[in-house]
Amino acid sequence: MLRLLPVLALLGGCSDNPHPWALRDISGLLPPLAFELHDGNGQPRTEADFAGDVTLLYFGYTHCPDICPTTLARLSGVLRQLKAGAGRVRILFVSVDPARDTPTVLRAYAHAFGPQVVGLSGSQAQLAKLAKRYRVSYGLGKPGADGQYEVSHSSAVFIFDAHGQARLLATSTDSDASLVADLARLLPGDRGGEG
Amino acid sequence: MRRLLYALAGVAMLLWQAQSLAVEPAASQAWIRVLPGDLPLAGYLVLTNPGERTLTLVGAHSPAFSQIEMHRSADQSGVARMMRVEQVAIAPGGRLAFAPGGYHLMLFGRTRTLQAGDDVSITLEFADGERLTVPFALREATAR
Repeated sequence: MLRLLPVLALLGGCSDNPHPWALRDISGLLPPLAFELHDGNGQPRTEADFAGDVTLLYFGYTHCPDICPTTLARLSGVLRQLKAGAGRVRILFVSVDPARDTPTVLRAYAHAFGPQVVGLSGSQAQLAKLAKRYRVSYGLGKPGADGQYEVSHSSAVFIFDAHGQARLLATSTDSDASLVADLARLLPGDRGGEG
Repeated sequence: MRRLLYALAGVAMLLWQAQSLAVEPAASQAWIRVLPGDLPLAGYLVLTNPGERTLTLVGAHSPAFSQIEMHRSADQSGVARMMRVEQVAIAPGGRLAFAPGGYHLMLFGRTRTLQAGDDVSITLEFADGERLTVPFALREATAR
């Protein structure tokens, strides 16, 4: 039986993981979850508040009517498919536009996508530190005559296991099925999981 | 004689209507994702151009919003960006989807409370002066 293992590893292609992930495996490539931000009630929040949960970290801004809500709607649909497991997953929506995204705006926005979504933001220094930690960039555009401005932000979703370790990266091209399957494996207590 | 004239006029009217129907732009799958407060919203639809000339969408207006712009989102090497577009052309016989992650109508400044389940009218403006008023279904934030 043991002799089969190297064969299975070969079948996995370049990966030595006999059960490759559907999403991009970033284990060991990015540091564990760590941040100092505030939530939609203006309360300070850190990674410690989400210990024991699988977390999905996504950067955006609420005045983004297309990509951000599309991503959050997709993630909340994925969570619905996880059924009971969704209770152990938190979607951390980090606004990189704290000037417009006051706690009140953030709270209402996060709430619209379901109870698993937590709206977070912080000072420019706190946000810059977090963005640097995960090597993402964001930028605020020049305001137009109406005062509106656009914000560029990372489109990826960083997925951390229940121990806060960076594990997977999801992009807009990944299927819902990939997200559901991989998140189910990361859930604590799942037999096939490694979390 | 008068009856015949009426009949001919009626036929002419029907033919004219049929012709204009055949070349008018058509919209389908029009919807808006409703977000809380007064956040800008995105409107989506599929436009078809059954005519023989290029159709150019240059703007839109609605009594439900103070301003409507056309925008396009793009994912450039993992960075999401949004750009304003002044006009969008649809080739003869072609179709263009305003869909999540791409082209969308950006709707600013609600003039009234908007609720999922209702709908709002938006009038699309084309370069040739043509107007098309489309009912957009209001859907929840989590709609896809």
